[in-house]
Amino acid sequence: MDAENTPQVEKECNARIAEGSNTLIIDAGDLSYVSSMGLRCFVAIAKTLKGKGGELRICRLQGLVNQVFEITGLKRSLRVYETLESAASARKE
Amino acid sequence: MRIDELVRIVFALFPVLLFLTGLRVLDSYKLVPMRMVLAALTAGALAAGLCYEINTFFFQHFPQYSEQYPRFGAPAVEETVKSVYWIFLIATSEVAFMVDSAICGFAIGAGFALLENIVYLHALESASATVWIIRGFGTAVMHGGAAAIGAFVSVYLAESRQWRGVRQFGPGLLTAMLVHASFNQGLLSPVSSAVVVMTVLPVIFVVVFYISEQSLGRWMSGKLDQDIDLLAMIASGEFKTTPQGAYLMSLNDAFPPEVRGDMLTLLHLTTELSARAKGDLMLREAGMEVPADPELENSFKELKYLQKSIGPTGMLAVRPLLKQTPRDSWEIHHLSR
Repeated sequence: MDAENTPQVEKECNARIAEGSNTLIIDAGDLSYVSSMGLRCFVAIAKTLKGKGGELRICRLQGLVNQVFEITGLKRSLRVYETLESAASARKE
Repeated sequence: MRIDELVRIVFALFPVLLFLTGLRVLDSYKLVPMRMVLAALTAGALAAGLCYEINTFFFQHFPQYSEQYPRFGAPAVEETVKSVYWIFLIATSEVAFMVDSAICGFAIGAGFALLENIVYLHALESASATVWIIRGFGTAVMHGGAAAIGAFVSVYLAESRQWRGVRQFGPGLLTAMLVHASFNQGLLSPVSSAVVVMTVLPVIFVVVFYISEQSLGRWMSGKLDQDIDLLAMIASGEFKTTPQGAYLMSLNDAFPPEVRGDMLTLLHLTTELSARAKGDLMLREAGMEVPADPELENSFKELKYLQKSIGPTGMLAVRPLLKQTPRDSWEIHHLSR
């Protein structure tokens, strides 16, 4: 998720939110890179969903992306899960 | 307490505190903790006490200048004494952004004005409500505004021109003195002066806050990407192909392998802490909660150990690899609070 494709992800998420979803799960299993723009996108979506009484769940962070989430402290602030199943079955906080 | 007394107190003390509260509300990042605001208010009150003594001394010993002193001497003395604390905050990287420096500067001026007005509340018991409106909305807010302008001009010069020392702080202090001296010239009626202060200062602050937050956002994104790329390089073993890696390799003959290893670890750790601080900023920008991180304490212990192990000479050698701007130093301060 860099400057080029982050707007696409944001657009997709906002479209789902506009359709009425208030909880989104992002499977980041195939994500190999995340820039500051990508991180800001995650934070913005999480904030929007929280404002609607829902939440953003992110799962299967790998390698550098996992490290970046850990280092920036976003792993502690956003809801991050090991597997897609645990993200899907998690209870809302 | 009589109603007229209450009115005097409200007009004398509340406007400047309301203005200060407004500035804190306007700040999206909320990086100035309440204890820092209280410390700045206290520093301002102490500055007012000191200036009272200096001004009294001057009036007693140089009565022939009693007309000129309030217009030129007092602004120079008062802004210099007030500047001691905002210069300290900026020089020690306690504040590194224009918004924060404006809030702290204003709080120092507010503390100054509060003590001054408390003294005047006793001294001018028979003064009308108009006097207190002018003192509360005009003089008090001017005191805050002048110090705030001095502080954010200094941060701006450090950011945009990389000026340090006298070049960084001199123009800010001079600007604060000019603002204060202009107010004291009596070119406008006291009521008009108060109106000008209450209309011009908010506009200045809104513009400064906007510019500062834009600049902070750009810096945060740009530097975070650099941090992420550097961490990726270190993790993948490609670090030695980077300019920083080449520099570290060039130290091969000067330092033993274990010290060079510590240098690389230090670079990795400071980059991690830098990215961590930007993660905090990102969450604050979005108005989200930043949970406490107990692991940070260990990181700072490790940082101290590495600095000690590398030694003063090694630290000098590794300095080009480490970030040294005021904002970079601020990141470490921010996390260690």
